[in-house]
Amino acid sequence: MLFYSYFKTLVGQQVTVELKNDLAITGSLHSVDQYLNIKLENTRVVDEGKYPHMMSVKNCFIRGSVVRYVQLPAGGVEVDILHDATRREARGT
Amino acid sequence: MEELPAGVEAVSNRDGSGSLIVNADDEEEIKYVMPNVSVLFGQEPVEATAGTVYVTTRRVAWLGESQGFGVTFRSITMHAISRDPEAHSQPCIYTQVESPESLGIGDDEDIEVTEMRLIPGDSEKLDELFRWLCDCAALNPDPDFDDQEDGAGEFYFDEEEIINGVGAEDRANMLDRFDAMLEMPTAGDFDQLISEDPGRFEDEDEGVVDDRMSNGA
Repeated sequence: MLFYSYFKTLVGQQVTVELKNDLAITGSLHSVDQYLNIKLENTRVVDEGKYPHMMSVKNCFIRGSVVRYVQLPAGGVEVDILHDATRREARGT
Repeated sequence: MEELPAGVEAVSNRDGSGSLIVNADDEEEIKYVMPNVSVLFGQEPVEATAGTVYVTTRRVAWLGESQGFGVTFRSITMHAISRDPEAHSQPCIYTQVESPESLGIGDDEDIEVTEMRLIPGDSEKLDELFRWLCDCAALNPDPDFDDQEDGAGEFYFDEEEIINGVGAEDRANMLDRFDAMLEMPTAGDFDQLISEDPGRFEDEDEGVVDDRMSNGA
């Protein structure tokens, strides 16, 4: 559940969610659940040519299992905390 | 509409009052009903008149005057609120649908994505419909989702957990499996091995070793 806990710390930040069908949506992270379903607000589609209708979308819910990558803001990564959390997860505590 | 797009299944049966029949075997329950909703696949309306949307614990279904269909949440990759009049004249729910077979393949240019729009007659209720779709989508994780929260099926435990008996059942099962893999030979097996190869358990001929050592010296 490391990624779930980690993504929760990014709520409110700008992220870009890349789907397995090659759609990439940028927006402010509204919420994430344990299945890594992601809700974005004030979204913008990176490649508007492919899905022109997505331009009009402002709030969206993305199914966790179709996410390929989540691009994070560089400043949103607390490397030390993440290292520590990863070690704790590996130890199973 | 003659043929339904990928990921969309026809619903032809209705109950006595014309409402959706749920699949009780799959613990399906109707959570939200919204009448007077039009549907488009791409730019094409399913029927000229509006129908009723059912949000169940398993799928989104729509029943019109003569046609009906359902889309399982596992096929809906994303859903969103769209209010831009340039994209569609009325506020609507925009969804992308893929057939479950194509989901998760990734990197495949041939993935067929269907754009489905639900257009409520009462656009004030758009947020409500969106929230129900979110809540019910969250009830349908993929069957292979690796939920590690309670440690079930995991074989990494620390000392304290083992003392407290965490995962005892998993560990016992694992040990049984290892035991089953270890096939100890019986006395009869030894006899057979020796009869096939009488020198099997003899020490290596020391003379050979000596020769090698003297050659190497």
